[in-house]
Amino acid sequence: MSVLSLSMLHKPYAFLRRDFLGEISYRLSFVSQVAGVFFSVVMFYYISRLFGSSANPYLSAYGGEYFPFVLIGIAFYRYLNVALSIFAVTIREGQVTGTLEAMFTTPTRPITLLIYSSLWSFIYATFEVAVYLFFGVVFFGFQIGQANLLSVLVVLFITILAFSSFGILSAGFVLFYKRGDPIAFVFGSLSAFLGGVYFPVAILPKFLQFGSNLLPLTYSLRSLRQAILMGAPVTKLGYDLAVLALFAAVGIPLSLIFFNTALSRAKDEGSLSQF
Amino acid sequence: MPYAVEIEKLTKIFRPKRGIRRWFASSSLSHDIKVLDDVTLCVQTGEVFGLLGPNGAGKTTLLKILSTLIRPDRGSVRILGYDLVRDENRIKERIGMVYPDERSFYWRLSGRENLCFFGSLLNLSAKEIDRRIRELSSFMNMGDFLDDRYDAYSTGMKQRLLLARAMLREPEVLLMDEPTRGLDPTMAESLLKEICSLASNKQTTVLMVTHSLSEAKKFCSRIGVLSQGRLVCEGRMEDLKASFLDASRYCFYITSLDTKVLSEMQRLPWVTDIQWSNGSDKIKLDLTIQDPEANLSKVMDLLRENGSMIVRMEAGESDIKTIFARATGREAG
Repeated sequence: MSVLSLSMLHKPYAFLRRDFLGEISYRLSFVSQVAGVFFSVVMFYYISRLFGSSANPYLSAYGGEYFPFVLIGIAFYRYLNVALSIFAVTIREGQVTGTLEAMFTTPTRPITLLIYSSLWSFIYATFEVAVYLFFGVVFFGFQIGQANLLSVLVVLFITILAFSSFGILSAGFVLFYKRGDPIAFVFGSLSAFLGGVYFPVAILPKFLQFGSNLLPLTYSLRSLRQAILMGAPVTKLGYDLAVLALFAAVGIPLSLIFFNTALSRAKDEGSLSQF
Repeated sequence: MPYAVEIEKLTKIFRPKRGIRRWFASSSLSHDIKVLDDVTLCVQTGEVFGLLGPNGAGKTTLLKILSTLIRPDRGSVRILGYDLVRDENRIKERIGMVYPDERSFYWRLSGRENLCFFGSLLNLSAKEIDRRIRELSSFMNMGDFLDDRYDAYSTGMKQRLLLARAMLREPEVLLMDEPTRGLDPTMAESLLKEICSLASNKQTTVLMVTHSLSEAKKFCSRIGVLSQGRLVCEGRMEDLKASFLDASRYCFYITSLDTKVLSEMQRLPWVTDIQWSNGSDKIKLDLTIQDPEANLSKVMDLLRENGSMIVRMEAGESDIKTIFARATGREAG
């Protein structure tokens, strides 16, 4: 690896190290999160046993079983949560702890600070997803052998980009309004309800299905389930990937413009560190 | 000598939020506040400049503008020749900032880990960060606590770490907002000595906000006083003394003082104030004399003619407190 590429990794590594060291200093929190994942898997396993095969018509596209369906839903919903919250949390925590100004007086660009600050959370979300799947496989007979890993990685990459645009918008709202950003609340709640996390979108009335089509989570979870449960190759996920890419292509530039406008306004008002 | 910091007609007004943001986010302001008003100031390269002023005078806002955290409304700022607004990143690469806020570190990380993190944001390589931490640690005696967690630090340790972070990249301009806040006088003096020695070794320009008049007097080559957003005076101590200290006030140390002389002096229209006190072997006589060029010799003659031998005479006052009080219009009485 060249010196240039090593030096490029130096900065993201510094963020990962900072967040890792912070995380391991709260060991109980780590243990309780793993325990939380385990109990969540157990709970949905027994809910799925209650349903039996009665939900089959709606689940046929995903192999017909509720447990694998919901396990993927709740596990990968973590990515949406992280993408929606981490950028705003970075700004907010920086304001509260006083580190935001210290970071913003360095030559590292604010948007780079935001993106690198999110790395640990995405890695941690990946770990949580792995723990979900691990418990599912080891204790509840979840089958993962048929999964198409390449498809999963491609969907995840575009998903994170698409979700992150909403998260960056959310960070802009924190700069503007300090608390109570509507993006994370509205988008997060709607996505949990309409995005197909706990039940297939097809079960919803038509007008709500229309609403679910406006959310990137719908396309993300559908393609992830196809890739994991049915082993679908990338080529079979073209439509969902295209829609997700469109969300990212439109959302990221817009969110960056909004964030930079909010930052500029905060500098004009002298309110960068106010919270 | 070239100027490291050039501020011209700098004005900053904080305005209350308007429209929908006023309703949703509320505003701490109910009306416009002019925090900086037409401030013009130049700081030479390698100079230690002290910025004084009462609370709310605009000192911190000025430093935040210089460190690119707040954008000015009017006027221009050039740091090391770079325009503050256009060349923001070039300026950030060349300045170091000591915040008054000791919270601005990650409390569950050690001092070294914090410095490593901020060093990487300053675009320093891992090797450079290690070298600088070694140098600063030995220079500022941080070796004993650098690997301890930050939340166990005393105020003195935190202040030293704040300074070490600001010095990590060997800044050409060091901005410091109350760097000795919360420190005992011995620690404060030793820290400022370290800063001044660094500044003189490396030709670092230091702009320091302080509430300590004695620190400003001792460590700053020039001082400026901000009051209600205006720079009310600026210059070397000697120049400020000449401008602000009362040239018509004289202190005579005399061997004796006759009441007849006192009443005669009180009748003189150009003697506006007379104070005296008895010392162990001398009498101290403070006089305020109008037009001293014409009248000072008359006073001295009067004293001598009445048998008062003048042992010593001092002109004016030599207290930075007086300069500060007069410049900010806070003079007692």
